[in-house]
Amino acid sequence: MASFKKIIVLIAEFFFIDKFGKKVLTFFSGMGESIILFYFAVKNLRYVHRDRKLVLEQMVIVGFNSIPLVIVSATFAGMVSAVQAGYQLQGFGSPNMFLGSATARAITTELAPVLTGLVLSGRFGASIAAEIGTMKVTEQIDALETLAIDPIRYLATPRLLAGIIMMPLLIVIADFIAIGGSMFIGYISMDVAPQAFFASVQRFMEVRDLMAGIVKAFLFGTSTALIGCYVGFSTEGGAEGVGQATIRAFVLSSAAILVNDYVVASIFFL
Amino acid sequence: MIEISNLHKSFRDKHILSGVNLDIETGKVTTIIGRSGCGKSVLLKHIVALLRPDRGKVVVEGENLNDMSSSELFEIRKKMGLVFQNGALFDSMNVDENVGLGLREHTKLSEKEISDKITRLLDMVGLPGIEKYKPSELSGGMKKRVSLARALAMEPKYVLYDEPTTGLDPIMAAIIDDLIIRLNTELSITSIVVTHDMHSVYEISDRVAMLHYGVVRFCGSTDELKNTTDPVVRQFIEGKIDGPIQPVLKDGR
Repeated sequence: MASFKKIIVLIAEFFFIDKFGKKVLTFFSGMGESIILFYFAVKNLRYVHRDRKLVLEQMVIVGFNSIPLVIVSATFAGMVSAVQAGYQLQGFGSPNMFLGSATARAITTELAPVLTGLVLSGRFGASIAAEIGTMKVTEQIDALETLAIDPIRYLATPRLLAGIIMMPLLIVIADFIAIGGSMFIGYISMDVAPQAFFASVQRFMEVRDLMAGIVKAFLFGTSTALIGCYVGFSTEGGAEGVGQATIRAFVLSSAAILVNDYVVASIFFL
Repeated sequence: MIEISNLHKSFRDKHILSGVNLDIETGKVTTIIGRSGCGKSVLLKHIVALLRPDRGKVVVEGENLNDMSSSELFEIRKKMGLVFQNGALFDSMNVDENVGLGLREHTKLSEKEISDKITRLLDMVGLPGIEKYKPSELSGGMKKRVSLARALAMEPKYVLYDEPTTGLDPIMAAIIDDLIIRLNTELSITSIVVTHDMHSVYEISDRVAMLHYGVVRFCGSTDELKNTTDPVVRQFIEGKIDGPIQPVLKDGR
């Protein structure tokens, strides 16, 4: 019996504790390294005037080029929220007077930030990781260093700043488009006039609903760009390593969006 | 003067450098030879502080690179240029932007002056008129020469070459060799060349160092290299199959 216990302990140590422990350590060391990267990227903001061309380039890639994707996802998110809200409100006396507020609140606090955040984490978070990862494995980052150029200043800071600025803007755009989509469905499917829809929005929407969405957008932009940069800089191997980094960046930034979403929602609404 | 003392470096459990001692004399061309995977490129990356040693030190002009902050290292790197084995050109930039990046970052030269300098550098490496090309449009040899032009743009005191003639045709290899010699004689640039090309070694070197099992096995002039009786060095420079150097075994040796 004693030897059986010993074997179990050995197996547990070998297969579980050892590997699990290593994963936990890797996770926390990654968190620490990301925080250090964030610190240096923020420290380099003092050169932002000099690097404005780099920042603008990234703002176009992250923001402007993402607009079509945001329009499509926000339109359908708004439309489906109207369909669902109409269905949920069927049991109430005058459901349509609540349609505007119900959908607008859901859109501004949850749907637009989270959906846009997730779509963009796949688009620009993964693309940052792939781009920086490719530069890492082809020695382009080393080349930057030998030219006495700080890779964090040159690569991470513009991407981080672009993420921080553009994500809230894109989410505000998504808010308007999704509310428009919701109003459109309310009008054609449920006979809710646009005036009644917006009267409902005005009556029940609060400033903190909008604030929560903006704070989330700011955090999502920061975490997505930071994770993309961190994963890119820690890429190893060749094409396979870059592929894995891309997937890792998408998974981690999506998880960060969901965690941040919960934290901000708890702070604002609990 | 670059002094390398007792340099050790391991990756995971594999010792690459096991106590390298080597002095790089100012104004000379030093070539580093050795078998593939013996740590030549790793040594080169320590000289520009792209890698930090596990033990030992690299001293450049009296300054120990280990003791330097990032900003101090950037200042030292402005005196150095590295020509990468595969070019390491920036994919997103054209040739003009690649070669001129250091100048645009660190100098106050006008666009006209930078443009003229890029034209001169590209002429020097035998690639006139390719300023607007993207790296994806260049052959391997062209990438290497653009990388050389980029390394020379900041007029460095030290230029490090990682296999500069590999993949080039014999005529272009001779042009690069000639360029290394001219940079050394006309501009007194100190050159450190990692190469397998023994013809280049005899052509350009003032001193030759051979790395073997993580240490410097031989260091001397090309005449001393030709006359050495060390069987390991002889086998390598003569490219013979039979001798003390055995094919790569399981343990990496």
